[in-house]
Amino acid sequence: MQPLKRLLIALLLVGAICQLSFVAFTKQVEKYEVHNTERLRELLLNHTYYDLIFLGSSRTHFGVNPRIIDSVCGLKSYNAGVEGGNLYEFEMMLKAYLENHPAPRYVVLNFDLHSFADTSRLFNYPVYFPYTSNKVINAYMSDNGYLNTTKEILPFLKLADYDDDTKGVFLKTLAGRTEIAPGDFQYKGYVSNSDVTITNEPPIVRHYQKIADNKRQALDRIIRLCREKKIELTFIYLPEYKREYEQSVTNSDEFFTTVDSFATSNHLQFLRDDKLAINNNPLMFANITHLNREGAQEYSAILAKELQTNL
Amino acid sequence: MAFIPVYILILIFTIIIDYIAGIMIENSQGPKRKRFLIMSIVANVGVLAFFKYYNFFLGNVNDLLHSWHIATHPLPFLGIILPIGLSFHTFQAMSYTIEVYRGNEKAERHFGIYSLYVMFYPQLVAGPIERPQNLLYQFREEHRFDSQNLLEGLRLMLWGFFKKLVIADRLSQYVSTVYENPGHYHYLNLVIATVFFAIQIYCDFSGYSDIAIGAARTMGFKLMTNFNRPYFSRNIQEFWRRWHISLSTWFKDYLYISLGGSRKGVKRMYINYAIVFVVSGFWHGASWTYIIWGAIHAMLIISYVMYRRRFKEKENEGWLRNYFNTIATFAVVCLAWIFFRAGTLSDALVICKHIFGLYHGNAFQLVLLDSRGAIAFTKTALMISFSMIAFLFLTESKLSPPLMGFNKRSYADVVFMAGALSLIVLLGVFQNNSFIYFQF
Repeated sequence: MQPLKRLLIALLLVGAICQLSFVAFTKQVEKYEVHNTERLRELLLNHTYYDLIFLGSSRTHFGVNPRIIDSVCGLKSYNAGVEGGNLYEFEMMLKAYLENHPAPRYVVLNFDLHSFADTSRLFNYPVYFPYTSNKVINAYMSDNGYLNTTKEILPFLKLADYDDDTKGVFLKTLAGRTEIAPGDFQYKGYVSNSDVTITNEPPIVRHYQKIADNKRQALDRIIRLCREKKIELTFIYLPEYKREYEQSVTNSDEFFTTVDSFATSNHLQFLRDDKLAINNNPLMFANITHLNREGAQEYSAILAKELQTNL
Repeated sequence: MAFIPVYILILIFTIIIDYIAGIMIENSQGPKRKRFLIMSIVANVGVLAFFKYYNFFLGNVNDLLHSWHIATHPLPFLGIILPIGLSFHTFQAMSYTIEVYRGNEKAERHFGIYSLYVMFYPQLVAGPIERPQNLLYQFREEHRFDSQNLLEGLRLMLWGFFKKLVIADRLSQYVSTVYENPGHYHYLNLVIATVFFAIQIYCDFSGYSDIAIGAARTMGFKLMTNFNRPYFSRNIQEFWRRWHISLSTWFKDYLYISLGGSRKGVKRMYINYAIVFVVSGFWHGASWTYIIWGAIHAMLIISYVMYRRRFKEKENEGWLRNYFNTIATFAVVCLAWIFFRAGTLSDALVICKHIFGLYHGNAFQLVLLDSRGAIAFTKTALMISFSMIAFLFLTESKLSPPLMGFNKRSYADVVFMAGALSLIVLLGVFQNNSFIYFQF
């Protein structure tokens, strides 16, 4: 066989193998990620009205149960927390939500110490690939270079963006597993975070966390957008075990001062829940920053009462 | 290590010096020839010493003065960055002047061709360190497009990218997590990380070499083989005949032989081995960890040669003995890699202490967590790694690079290329990881 013919046939084979793998892979991911698929479809493509949206990172995702909030406050809420997100991604989520949904009455924005981090990338961007029909998601994905013409022509190239854990989904689905572990449950964007508890306390590794100007600007835009859409915005800071993470960030005071000053100058509530009694109970946490299943139940009841008083 | 445009001037400086030196050596007689050779070597080694070793020496002098309570103010470090590929092209340039001096090669009169010899882009950054007798003449030949060269070059590049993107960059996640905080991990995690590093550095460096050799091949140039399945070696001497061949032969041809090789007696031969390996370690980086890595290899080689002088090698050792020897050689090479990879000498000693002391203060982690408790290496990554390593060794045990065995087997070739490229797309790690040897 001629060398060029060999190369050409090999390339065609690669195209076929990879495209087939990509189609099979996306189907399996959809099957495995039952929770993420449902919530992102709801948040980014559907049109349902909600009174209250919770924005934030994984701490929000695993820590706020809308079922409890709704039953106490008499509202219809949805948890839109995204893993590893900072203000850049929170802004995207809010805009993308407003693209299809009517504006909610309330948005509760949970901050983390890394919310102002100097990075403008989406933490786990491959999860948004199926939702690029949402104009906002499409724009953010394109601006970051995650989506381009080459990937539109050869969709299987998106496989390069997935990490090993997601690639392993293929085998996990074949074994009949989903991302919701046995004993856990989901409800309107929330998923319970197992019954793991803190058994040992790793030493605190101290580091500096930059408060980036571009994230201050992102927060400013979120505030203006809420004002424009007549959404009542509230800031919160979720519990963390013995405030150990706060101690690990050398400039945590600067962080709280920044959020406080935004809240004060814009007449917004800032509910700091890092000093509640729950913070000292190792049975309520899966790790130092994330509540576990029981912790989320208990904290959601506390938060619901706080919101009932303040909203 | 960095690419800074103005540093091109350094390259131009050494090119001009060596170009002139080559012609002057050829045109001169007697001691003058040696003077021009020394001028060239001093210029090359001087540039290398300044950029690569100046701060290292200064740091050691400061430490020494401090321990003797001599200086109250430490000598200031220079804010210099190592130009990319400096160690490689200075060695390649030196091999030219040495070969001209030895009369094995004629001085190149064409400045453009000589510059191309030093700056030939596929191997400029990390080798293979070429010899003038293998490369210079190829620049004078006409190279027309040849689809066979294109096929052979692309196939080899593909294999190089597979090794780098699918294996090396995946293993590096495990290795860097463990080596960043080695005192924190169970001895089995340290063992896995060390074995992974051995495979990572092989895939990273031989992958780069395959890409370089393949890129040159697509244009019709043939570069020397740099790796020949080193982890299949049955003893340490064989390992060094198969690992980074262009560097080890460079040291053999230009340092070991110049020091007298084995011609001046056994003791002197052992000393020469020691010098060559310690210098080789120092060539890799300005740090005590590299020097110790070189010294360990020197000890291993000397011990092996002493053993062989006493017990002659049999023609056929038997398959069981061969397997044992291969595994033993791999184990000692891994032990030396600890010093090569560790961030500091104390880290390396902690790793050795924990491995040999079977440290289990912290539990073994199948799913590897970093020091902040975040998942750094999942079970899936582990599974992919093991299967791809098995695929690598199976393929290379049948066909060593440059994979010429595929030329006569069309269908196997197509399946191989399609399989390798599909694996890169499906399982590659694309995180802008540069090649390890770019830092040297």
